[in-house]
Parts: sequence; structure tokens; C-alpha cells
Amino acid sequence: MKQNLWLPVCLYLAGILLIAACRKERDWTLPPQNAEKDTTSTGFYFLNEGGWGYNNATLDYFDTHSGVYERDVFTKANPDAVLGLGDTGNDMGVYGSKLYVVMNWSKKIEILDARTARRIKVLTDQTHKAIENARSITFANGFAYLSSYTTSEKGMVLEIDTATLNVTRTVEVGRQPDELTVAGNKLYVANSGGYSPANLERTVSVIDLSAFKVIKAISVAPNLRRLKKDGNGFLYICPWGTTGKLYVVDTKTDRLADSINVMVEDFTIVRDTAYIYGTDYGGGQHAYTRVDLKNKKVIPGSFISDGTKITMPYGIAVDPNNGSIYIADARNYSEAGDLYCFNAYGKLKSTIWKTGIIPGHIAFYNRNGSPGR
Amino acid sequence: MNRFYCWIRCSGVMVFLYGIGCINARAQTHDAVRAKELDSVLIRSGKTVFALNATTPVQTLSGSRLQQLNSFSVADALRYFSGVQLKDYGGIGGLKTLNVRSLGAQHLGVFYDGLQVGNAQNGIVDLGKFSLDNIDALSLYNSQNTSPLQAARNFGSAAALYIKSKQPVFEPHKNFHINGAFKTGSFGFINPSLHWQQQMAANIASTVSIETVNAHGKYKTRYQKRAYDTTIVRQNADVASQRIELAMQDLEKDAAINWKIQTYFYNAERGLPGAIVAERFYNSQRLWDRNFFTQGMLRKQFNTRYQLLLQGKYANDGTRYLDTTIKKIGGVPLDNRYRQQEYNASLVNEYRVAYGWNVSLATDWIVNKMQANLDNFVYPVRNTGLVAVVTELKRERFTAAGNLLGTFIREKVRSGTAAGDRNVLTPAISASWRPWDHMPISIRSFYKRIFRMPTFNDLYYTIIGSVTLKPEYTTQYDIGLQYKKSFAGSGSGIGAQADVYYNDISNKIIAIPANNLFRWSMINMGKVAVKGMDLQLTYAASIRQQVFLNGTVTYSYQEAVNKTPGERSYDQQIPYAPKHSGSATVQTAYRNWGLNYSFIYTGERYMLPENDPQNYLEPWYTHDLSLTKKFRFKQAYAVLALEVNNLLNQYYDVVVNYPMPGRNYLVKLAFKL
Repeated sequence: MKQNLWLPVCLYLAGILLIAACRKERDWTLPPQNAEKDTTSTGFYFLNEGGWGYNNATLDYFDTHSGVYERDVFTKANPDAVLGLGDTGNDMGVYGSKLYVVMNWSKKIEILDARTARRIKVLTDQTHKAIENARSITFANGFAYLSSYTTSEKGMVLEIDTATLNVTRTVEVGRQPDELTVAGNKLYVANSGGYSPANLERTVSVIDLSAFKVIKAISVAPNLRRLKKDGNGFLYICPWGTTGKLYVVDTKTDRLADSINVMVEDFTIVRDTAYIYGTDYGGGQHAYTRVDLKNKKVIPGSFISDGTKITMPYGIAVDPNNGSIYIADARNYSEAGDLYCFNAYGKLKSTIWKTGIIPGHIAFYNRNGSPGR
Repeated sequence: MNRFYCWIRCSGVMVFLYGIGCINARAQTHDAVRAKELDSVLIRSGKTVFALNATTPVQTLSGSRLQQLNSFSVADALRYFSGVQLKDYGGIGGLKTLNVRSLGAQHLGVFYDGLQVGNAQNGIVDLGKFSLDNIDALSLYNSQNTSPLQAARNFGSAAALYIKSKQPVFEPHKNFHINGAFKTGSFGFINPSLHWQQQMAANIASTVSIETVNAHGKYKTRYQKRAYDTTIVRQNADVASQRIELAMQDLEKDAAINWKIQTYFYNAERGLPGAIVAERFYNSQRLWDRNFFTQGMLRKQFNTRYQLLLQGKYANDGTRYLDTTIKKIGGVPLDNRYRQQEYNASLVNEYRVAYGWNVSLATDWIVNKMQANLDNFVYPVRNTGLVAVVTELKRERFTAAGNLLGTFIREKVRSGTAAGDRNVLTPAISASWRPWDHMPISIRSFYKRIFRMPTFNDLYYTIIGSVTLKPEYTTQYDIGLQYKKSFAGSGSGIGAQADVYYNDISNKIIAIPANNLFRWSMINMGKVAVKGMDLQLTYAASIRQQVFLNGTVTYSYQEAVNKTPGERSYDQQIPYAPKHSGSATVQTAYRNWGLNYSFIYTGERYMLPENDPQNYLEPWYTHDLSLTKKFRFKQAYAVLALEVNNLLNQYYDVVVNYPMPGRNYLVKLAFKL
């Protein structure tokens, strides 16, 4: 009888030791994928935003010339970066030989050597408090300009010297500013005011770059987000969410000049054409439209001509080398995304399956170009 | 005797077993060594018990077995059940919810002394709020408690947790009980509590229970990779809470009339430490909670066949969420305040058709209201009518139960469109059969189909269009075996339960991030299928009536896969569901000493739907140890307990990037007058 009683105890102590032994360290490194080669182009960095709070933003590189798609190049190049690239990669851009990655929730700007993805400098909220909640980045005349929601009521635009990598000047703009661009000697930033749904902002702030002061606010529409320029001094602006209007601001007069009726969530401009997508969350009805910016006219029909189905378009870019159109598919925001590549005629050329989580931003760069420039 | 209200008094120490265990416990009370082994009674009588004729799987922790588990709260104790995953955001103040058989935390109904603790805002009850100090028993039912003498609402969730507060029972010569405890330890944890029961008249007792918890909540956590090794102190994890409960009740449970009224008040302020991500090791958000409810019940037996149960409840909850990093227009920080009221009335008519065959008609009416200081808030009001026809048939070797629940919901909003009316009929049936007289084995099975309504957050706190959300349905099939044997004389026994089940969740409500941080789209799209198995083994033993021993081993296997068409993760294990998990506990007593050990294991999981290496979460397991010593001074007892939790100092996350504490300590001094 006595043995019987001790038996279960011994049994499960043994069992515990057994399971306790099977916690294995797994360091994941994904092997490079092979996609279709395209010798008419060079390559690009691809930023996957990652899920909020998941700390799983990733930076990938697609070498179009060799057709090799390499996942998570940041971690490979910077194994000593504590907790990796971080959380919610909101924007990125290449300027000169450097790649700037705006990490929104991780409160940092990663400045990387664009050739190797090695870290050169990190700007954090210790560098400047407004790095917390940074949103978008643009470049002009040797400076990077960064918009930030900040932790104050008004947002801010920061000027970063791309030679010294220091924050040189700052200027307060409207509430929760998003995309920004430089046209001539002026910087334009779209204010959203999204933190106060009952009191949204409806202006674009105009900053004189010499004085670095806001000189004007152009009234456009509530809750502005996207703001891009063409080559003829016009700005194209749209609010948060898919809306039916693309607003046009003339930088010569700094006034709202026109609006184009088109379903728009995000867009990119190549020469005189805007490539636009609009999405309805969950419903699966998306629109892919081109607009002729010279005449401010919608080009009829979808620019995806072969009927390719994209679950949740989340990013768009057009390759300046060959006119290929890239559309990032965030799928359901929790599965890995996909990246579709269409030729200039809207026919699906190739697909990269399984990028990172919530893919959204492309920065064209030739990693194999002449080093050091 | 109605088993729901049946309580057993055993031996010189007041230990109460939860109703369903009474059949089992009766055998143990007549113990020859009662006086001599008074101190050991605690451990023997507190073992996990179950009735062989239960038609739905139920796991119960009660009495001393519950008190001797290393637990800060009800949530911690529930980790020892099989088939459950505690979603724990870490630390003393972290949100803790229970996911039963991968149905989702919102499908668990939490019942405090028989009445549901509701939350129409988000459907979640934080189980970390409930202290163990005034709790007698925790019972987790898959499907439901099948007793006909219950509110209709008790049949309305996919799984049910019954939290039963301490019941007053007085000896002839004594008309009061005072229990006090003081706990302190890691995280700056200070937790005094007092529980006072007083016999006011021959058959009336009052109970006062008060408790406060204070902790700075700081603990270290470590992140290691090949090229770095960083130790981080978890910040803004403090909590300060106060709880007061008052109750007045009729002591004669089995009399023709029995009543109870009680009031609960909980107030807390806590920091929300947030997810730890690169460059963000500190978050400053704060949360205030205030929960108040008052409830009453009256049961009247009119004759041998007919009895009536009347219950009522009013609850008022307030939540405040403060985020100073978000400034709205005018520079005011994001300071969201939510208020909810719930009015609940229930009338149950139970009729005994024949010996062992009861039928009942339960009708409930529930009103939920919510207010918030959000922009464009719609101020929803939900009226829910519930009608349940319930029957239970008990024969010597066969028990069957079934019910049909009608749910009728009408919603109103101040502006915009309200969710459409819902009129739904859902069934549940269960049975158990004991094929042989001489073998203590029974077979049981249940089927239940039930849904959860979209919460107010799902419907109204989001982008337009969500009001078309459909309820999320669950269908459960279960078949199981029970075995129970006690060895006469020695006080030893073993019990086992094994169940296999299949769950199907359809129209799963999923949040899709939409326009910006504050607007999410809610859609019905998910479909999940869960195949699983739960095993539970309990035993109690004594060695020469000197050393007393009891323990449990649980093991769960779950294949919870995504069945949403078109998703890449189709047929892959859903996030946070481990295939393998289990627990083990051993509690031993020798004279005035007690030594308890517990182990919890959660196997590998994935944090996102795709079962890929970058989503992989390592298994984790914790070893907890406690030593107790009991002192006796005449009529009073004192217990000193020392606990070490997470003995091997393993760093792990239950919820990704919400680190759990490493090794931590607790000292507890309790007395009983």
C-alpha cells in the first residue's frame, strides 16, 4: 500500500523533469527567398510596420537584379541592437548613403548605412523629446525633416542635418501632423488632429525654411494625412481613411486649387501620374486608379489590368527605373504580408509571398552600387 | 436536499466543501482520529472533489487546498485547472482573464455567489481583482452548472466560473468568527485583510470582509540574445486597491425560506506598464476601477414539490483611463471615463415532477447602460430578456439535464443606429451514466450551443458599420469518463476525469486596425475548431495517519486551429493556444507543518496566426513552493506561511512583451479567532 502512495509522486516528479528539459532556445533567421529577377532595376528596402506592441517591425531588402529577397536585414546587420528594430515602423527614406527608419512606438529614428544596413546613429526621445511619436520623414537640401505628433498638444517638425545627424531646428505645427514635403523654399505638412475626433484639424501648415517658422495654414479638409508633390509645384493631399477626394494645393499661391473625385487611401506620384489605391476595410472592394496630374483628370479603369486580388493594400510604390508598380498587401494585419509587382501595363509580374507583418514602405536603393559614392 | 445550497460542516475546524462535493466529503467527516489530527484535517478535507454523477465537467478548488496554493488572487488559483489558459499581463496589477478550451475569455461567465458579474463594455472580467481571502470554493464548469434552481443567465455562457464566498457556520458555543491575514513580500506587496462573521440572531448572520492591496509592482526582467544582455525593471506597475463586502443572510440553508443580501465594493488605481518593446521600457498610462454591486436572493419552498427563487442585482462600474502622452485639443490629456450600470432581476420556479426529476422555468431581465466621455459616444442601452426551460433527471445510475434558453435583446442608442434586435434559441443537453454498481466509473457527455453578444466596444466604440456585427457562436461536444475510489479507513482515495471534446467557434469577432489608432473595424470573420482532451487526476493519502498528502495532476491537449477560409494560417494553431499544457500540485502535512509544491507548464505557442519561427513563443513552466506552520493558542489559530514563486527564476511572457515576474517571495500571517 505504501509504495502505491509514493508512486504517483515519483511519477510526476519524473514527468516534470522531463518536460522541464524541453525549453529550447530558438534563434530564428529566415533564409533568403528567391523571386523573379529583373535586370532593368536594382533593388529596394522594404519596411514591415509590425503589429502594435509586438515589437516585430522588420526591414527587408529585395535585390531585383539577382532576385534575392532577404528578410530582416536589420537584425542580421545589428545583432547588438537591444530588442531589434522595434515597434511600428511608420516611414523610411534613403538620402545620400543613409537609410532613415522612423520607428513610431519604439521612439527612435534608426540611421543606417544604406549599403550594409549597419547602424550609424540612433536618435531617441533622449536626443529630442519630439522623437516620441514621430511619423513621417522627407529630405531636401542636405536636411531631413521629420514630423511628430509629440506628447504635447501641437505637433512638431524637426530638422536633422544629414551630415552631423543632429537635430538642428524645430518648429511647432498643427495637431498630429503626418506627411510632409518640401517644395521650393517651403515645407508643407498635413495636420490631422486625429486625437480629437470632434475637433479635427483641416489645414496644411506652410513653413518657411529660411526662418523655420510657420508662415501660413492652408485650409483643405478635416483629418489630413497624405501629402505628396508633383514636378509642377502642386501638392496632392488626402485625409485619413479612404475618401472620395484628392485635394490639390498650388504652391505658387498656397491655396486649395482643385479637388479630384477619386477613391483614395494612399498614392504615389511618378512624373505626371498619380497611382492611387482606395480600400474599404473588411469589405474587399478596392480601387486602383491613375490620375493624369497635368489635366487633373482620372484615367478611366483600374491600373491593375489582370484582375489580381489583393486582400488589404497597405503600401504602393513605382520603381523609377522601369515603371514597375509594387503594392504591399497587409492581408489581415496579423499574418505575414505579400508584395505584388506589376509591370507598367498592370499585369502581375511577380509576387513575394510572406514578407513581414503589415508591409507598407518601399525605399528604392541600389545596395550593389559604387560604395561610398 | 438541494445540492446547490448544500454545505457540509466537517470536523472541529470549519472547512466547507462546495455543494457538489458533499457526497464525497461525508465519508471523510467520520474520522476516528478527528481530535488528535485536528491540524491535518485541513489538508485532507480540502482535496479536489467531484460528484460521480455530474453531467458536465467541473473542477473545484475549495477549503484548505485552495488556501494553500501559491496564489495572489482567484486568477492564480485557476491556473491549476485543466483545459484553461490564464491570460496574464504580469505582475500584481496586470489584467488576468481565463480562456477555457480556447473559446476565448469573453465566453466565460463569472458568477459571484450565484449571480453573474457582467461587463457589457468589453465582456471581460478581471479575475486578478478577486482575492482568495474570503473565498470558499472556485468551480469551473465546462458548458454549465446544470442545476435547475438557477437564473436563466447561468445557462448563457460557454463555460462558467462559480466563485463562492465564505459561508458562515457557527458552533453552538460561539457566535462569531474572525479571520485576519497579513501578506507581504516582493513587489512592495502589502495586503492586510479581515473577515468577520457574526451571528446576529438564532438564524441570521452578518459578514464583513475588508481588504487592501498596495504594491509598487516593480520587478526585474531580462532580455538576452547572443549580442546583448539587458536587465529591465518593470515600471509603472503599482497598484492600490480596497475592497469591502457586507452580507446578511439566513443561516438555515435547508429551511423553507432562505435569503441573503450582499454588497461588494472595489476601488483600485493602477499603472499600466504596457508592452516592452525596443527603446520603450516605460509607459505611463494609468487606470482607475470602481466596481460596486449589491445583490440579494430569496428562496421559498411552498410545498414538497414547488419552490421559487427570486434574485436581484444592481451593479455600477466606473473606469478611468489616463494617457498623458496623448494630448487632445486644448492640451488636455486623453482621460477617458466609462460608466456602466446593470440592473438584473431573475425569477426561477422549480417544480419537482417526481422523485429525482425537477423542472424549472427561469426568467431574467437585464438592463445594461453605458456612458463615456468619448467624442461622438452613442450611450447604448441594452435590454436583455432571458427565458430558460430547464430539467434535470436524477436516477441512481443515470443523470440527465437539459435546457432551452431563449435570449431576446433590444438595443437603443442616443444617436446613430443601434444594433438590430436579437431573438435566439439555444439548447444544451448533458447526461451521465454509471454502467456498473460495483465500479465507481461513470460516462458523461454534453452538447451545448451558445453565443456571446458583441460588446458595446465591438458595436459602438469603432467605425460606423460595426452595428451589423453578428453574435459569436460556440458549439461544444464533449464526452468523458470519471473514476473515483476511496480506500476505506486509510483516508486515501483517487479520482480521475478524462474528457475529449470538439468546439466550434463561428462568426468570431475580429478587430481590424483601420483609419487610425483610435478607430478599429470590427468584423465577423473568424472560424476556429478546437479538438482537445483534458485529464485530471487527484489523490489523497495518509501514511500511518501521520503524514497527509494530496495532489493533482492535470494535462491538456488542444488542437485549436484557424478555419477561416482564405487565410494563410488556415489549419494552423491559433495564437496563444498551447498544444500541451498541464499542472501538478502536491500538498503535504505533518503535525503542524505543511509543505506545498506546485508546477505549471505551458507548451510552445505562437503569438500570431502563422505557425512560423518568428512567431514562436517558448514553453514556460514555474515551480512554486510554500511552507506553512500552524500555531494554536486555546481557541485561536495562527498560520505562518512562506512562499517562493517561480523558484528557478525563469523569465517568460504569457502575453508577448508583457514579462512575468522572476523569483518572488511572499510571507503570510493569518489568524483565526
